[in-house]
Amino acid sequence: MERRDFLKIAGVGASAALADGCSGQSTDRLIPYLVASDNVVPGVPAYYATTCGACPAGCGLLAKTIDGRVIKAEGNPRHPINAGRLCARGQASVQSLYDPDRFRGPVGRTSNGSWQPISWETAESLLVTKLRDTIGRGRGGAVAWLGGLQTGSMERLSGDLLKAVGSERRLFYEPFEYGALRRAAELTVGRRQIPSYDFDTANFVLSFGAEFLESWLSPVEFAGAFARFRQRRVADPFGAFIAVAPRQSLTVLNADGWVPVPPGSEVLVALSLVHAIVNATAASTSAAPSSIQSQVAPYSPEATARATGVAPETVRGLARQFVNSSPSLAVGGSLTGGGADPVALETAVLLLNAVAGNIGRTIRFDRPSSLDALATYSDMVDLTRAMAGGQIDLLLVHQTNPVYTLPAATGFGPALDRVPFVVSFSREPDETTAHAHLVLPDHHFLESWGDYSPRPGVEGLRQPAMSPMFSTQAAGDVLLRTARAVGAQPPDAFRAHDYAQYVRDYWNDRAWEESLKNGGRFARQDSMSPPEETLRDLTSTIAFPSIPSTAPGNDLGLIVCTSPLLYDGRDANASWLQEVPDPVTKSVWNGYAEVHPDAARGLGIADGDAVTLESSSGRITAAARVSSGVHPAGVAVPLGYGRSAPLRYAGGRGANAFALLSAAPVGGSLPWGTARVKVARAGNGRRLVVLQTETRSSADRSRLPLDAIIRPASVIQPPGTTPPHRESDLYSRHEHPEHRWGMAIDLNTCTGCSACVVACYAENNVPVVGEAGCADGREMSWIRIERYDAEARMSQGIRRTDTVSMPMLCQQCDEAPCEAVCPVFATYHNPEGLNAQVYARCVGTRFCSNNCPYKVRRFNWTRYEWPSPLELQLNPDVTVRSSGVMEKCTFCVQRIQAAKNDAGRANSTLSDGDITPACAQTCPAHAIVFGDLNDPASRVSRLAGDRRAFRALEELNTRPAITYLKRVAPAGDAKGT
Amino acid sequence: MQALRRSILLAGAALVTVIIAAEVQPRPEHPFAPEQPIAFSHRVHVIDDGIDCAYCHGAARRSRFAGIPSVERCMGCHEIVLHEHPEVEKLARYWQYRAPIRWVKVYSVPGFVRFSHEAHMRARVSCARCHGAVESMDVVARATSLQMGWCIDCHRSMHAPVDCLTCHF
Repeated sequence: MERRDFLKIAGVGASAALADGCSGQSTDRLIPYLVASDNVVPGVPAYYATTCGACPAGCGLLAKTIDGRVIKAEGNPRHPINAGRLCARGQASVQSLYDPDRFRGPVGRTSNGSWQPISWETAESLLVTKLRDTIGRGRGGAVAWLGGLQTGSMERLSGDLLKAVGSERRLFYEPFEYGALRRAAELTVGRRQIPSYDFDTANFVLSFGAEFLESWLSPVEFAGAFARFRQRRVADPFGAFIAVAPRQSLTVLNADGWVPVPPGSEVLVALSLVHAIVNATAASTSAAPSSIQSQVAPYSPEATARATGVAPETVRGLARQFVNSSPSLAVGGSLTGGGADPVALETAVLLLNAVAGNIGRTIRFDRPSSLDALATYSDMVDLTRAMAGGQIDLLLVHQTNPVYTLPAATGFGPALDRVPFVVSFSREPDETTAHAHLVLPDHHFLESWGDYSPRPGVEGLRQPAMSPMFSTQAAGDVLLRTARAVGAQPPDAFRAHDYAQYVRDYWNDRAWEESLKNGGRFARQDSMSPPEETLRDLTSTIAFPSIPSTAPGNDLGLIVCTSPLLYDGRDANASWLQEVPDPVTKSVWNGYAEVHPDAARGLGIADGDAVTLESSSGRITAAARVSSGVHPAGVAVPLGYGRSAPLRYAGGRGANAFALLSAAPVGGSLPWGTARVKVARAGNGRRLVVLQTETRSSADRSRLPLDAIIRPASVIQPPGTTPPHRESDLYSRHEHPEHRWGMAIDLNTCTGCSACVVACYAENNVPVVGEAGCADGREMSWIRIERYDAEARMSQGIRRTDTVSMPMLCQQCDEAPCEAVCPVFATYHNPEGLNAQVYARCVGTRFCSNNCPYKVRRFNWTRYEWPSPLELQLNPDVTVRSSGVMEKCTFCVQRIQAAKNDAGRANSTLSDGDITPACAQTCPAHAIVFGDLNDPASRVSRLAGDRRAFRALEELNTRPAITYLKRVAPAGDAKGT
Repeated sequence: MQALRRSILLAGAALVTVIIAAEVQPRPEHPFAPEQPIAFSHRVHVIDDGIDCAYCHGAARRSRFAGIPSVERCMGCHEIVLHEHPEVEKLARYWQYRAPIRWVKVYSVPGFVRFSHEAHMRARVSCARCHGAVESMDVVARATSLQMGWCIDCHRSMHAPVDCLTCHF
């Protein structure tokens, strides 16, 4: 047969086959409720105010539910901590709710060691029997509770139960327990508590590694405050944020300057700064006792220079700036850092604040933090010893996973095996449940009653946003029933019918309905009065580390790092958190070992090689990543990988950094920063999938991103002198009679945290493609954060970081290159300024993506699956795309349509702020603004005409609807003073 | 000979196409009127008993869905009314066994079409315009084609938005 004939027949045959599909006969069903709820109107969302449980920051969360199931998490605008914003992990909490690997019901250990599903009656009676036995044998004191931080109701209930059985063993354990910071506060001001920090009133911020924009203390709150700190620079260039750290974490990338130091030597830099300040002739307004001068005497900038690699002039310059920019703010070490003596580092940082007069101003001890109740690592070591010594007969494990989050060398796992009965309330199998005898799975926090208060005056309420997905029970319910069954005294303490009633009784709230609507009770923040602080004499209480005289050996200092996506690995099974690139390395689905090019050269390692890291405690294998973002004397390994639990997304990925850490506490804390590792090449590794390999701009200074950072107002080029590019038009301009949607993204405040990326995945049913898909460049994210680094340069001995994080999404161009090349008119410019993508028309030629200069169009190469029950999270307001169809950012057109509908229903018009796309809604730094460009009074219109405004690839004449605002460099940067 | 065989093949394929296409076109004299799990008659309930549309389909004015009454809503009357009728007995069994009724959807648009009842009710489009004279039907039958062209015709004549993003997103 001739080719042409074959094509003709195939074409006609295909149309015959397709015609069959046009019949319009459906086999769909309409399934009503059996009993309809008054609150549920099909298709209309209901919001429940609750409190996020993804980390101890305790942000307020609004759970959006449709038809009785949660589909999206948003920040609660009324909550004082996060003011309506959520971080990436808060956004991913809907995925952990529908995690396919969650326990479907209670399981018990059979005699041969395997898990067997059992009924709740059996499970609870097992617990009651064991508890009765233990009490009966007079071993009530051998019952222990090990759980994540609880306040309020659960704190009281667990405490009352333990007291009733005669035990005092309760530990609230978090891997990041800030023990060193608390101890340092006790030593310096006599209060063992975590201070509160005020970034927005500081004029100069100095960090020694604290990841306050990622995971330290309260990242959403701090990101908002830091954004305000940066925005002040627009009107009045001043101050800077300088970071002294061994590695560029995301927070350090947002600094104006980075002082790279060998891991563990941050304390020496802090002490040399204190030395410089107390010895300067223009003395500070310090409240420091004279003993400080003698204590820091050995740590002159000259004496520490060799060990830290920081020139004395640099130290003196920083010290001057720190004092002259009063009030300034110094924040302490990394969650996973601190070197050999983290208490010394935190103490030195508090001293630094003290001598500069910051205490009581930008750093205050005016209110305790709930984190003050956390157990220290020493407490965990004691518990391990007690378990190994047979002192614990019954252990209750709740919302914590110590077998993973403690170094293997601590021996927690084997010690746990010595406990006769271990009960876990965990939602999903993890490393700790592997040692348990009974699992009574708790609800997810989105299904739970409860409360959480991160600090006085902020009482967050937690209420269920939907019925439990599986046959789980609230841990509180189990405790109440168990307490009653064993006859715990006093009976009144366990009288509540269920945990929901218990929480309500605990709150004793006359305005309960109001609290439910608001998500809690929030007192005015200025009601705390700062007490007088006098600095204590430290001579007898702390010995600062001596300055190392010899250079370290040829091994490298281990730098354990965290990412704002994986945190300590607890939510690693949320596939979004694996697929969204690490904000610093842009790698996905795997961990790495990051080394400096000099170190790599010395070790014969190339990027992507498999390397072994061996410390005195253990050995791991990881993919090498060669980067100048780490000090040559260190190797950085992220936390959250190497999980061994049977979890489909988290299990078996990367290497567990905990394996390299030793067991002995330092200053009561986990020895995060003491490990030294030998790194050796182990062969050609599995390639680390990195989604953005090139971060350096071209040498052409007229292109992004070098122009993305502008110098302070006084040295800006006046508008008239910028050479205009030619504006030419083949077609007549589009008309936008009513609205013209536009967006403004402020690169001065964007931190690169990627919360917007995860929010977009959640809102728009963006599929996860997996590691292999990402390796093929087929990741589906509609918005991505691009990292741009300018040429490395030194200024006053400090390495200028000049890294800009630029969210890149469909620019909704007025002159879109994609529209002209679609053969079927599936993409066109709609009358409201959006570049519309009609999925039904798209035939998948992919010419549009080919033509897009921003490369923001995503093609569905296959039909992506959502393993049950993840498909319940899908947003019913957004089409789920099938294979062969192009998709891209739509400015959340479903929200635009919904807002128009709401305005129509209320018979009113749309006003500025009525419509917020998912990315803009969640951004903790308030960097994204959306609105109507046709409305001259809207925020986005004003920002579009701002003197910092530019458009991406403006010279291509695409006329994007998105305006970017340039970052403002700190004062004095251009002149190098 | 080759040319003849080629023409026959082509003609045959074209004929098959035409036949299939003709077969599957909706025909007014045989509308899609599927058999339902319970033989519910709109005529009896609306014309004879005078029940308002919104009593059962109340979501239509506040949601994109019109809503189907819950089994409880039906039992509200049929706990007592006509409880010996065989179809009502079927209903009672659904209620007794706590099973929702799986009605066959007569008016169905594909998943990439976002139709909103609320918007159309606000625009004062009568139910009959798209659903036909449902109140006189014993068995609900499809009265309109629901093809996109039919939607666009009405949108054009009523000056409603014809932008693609109105319904396709």
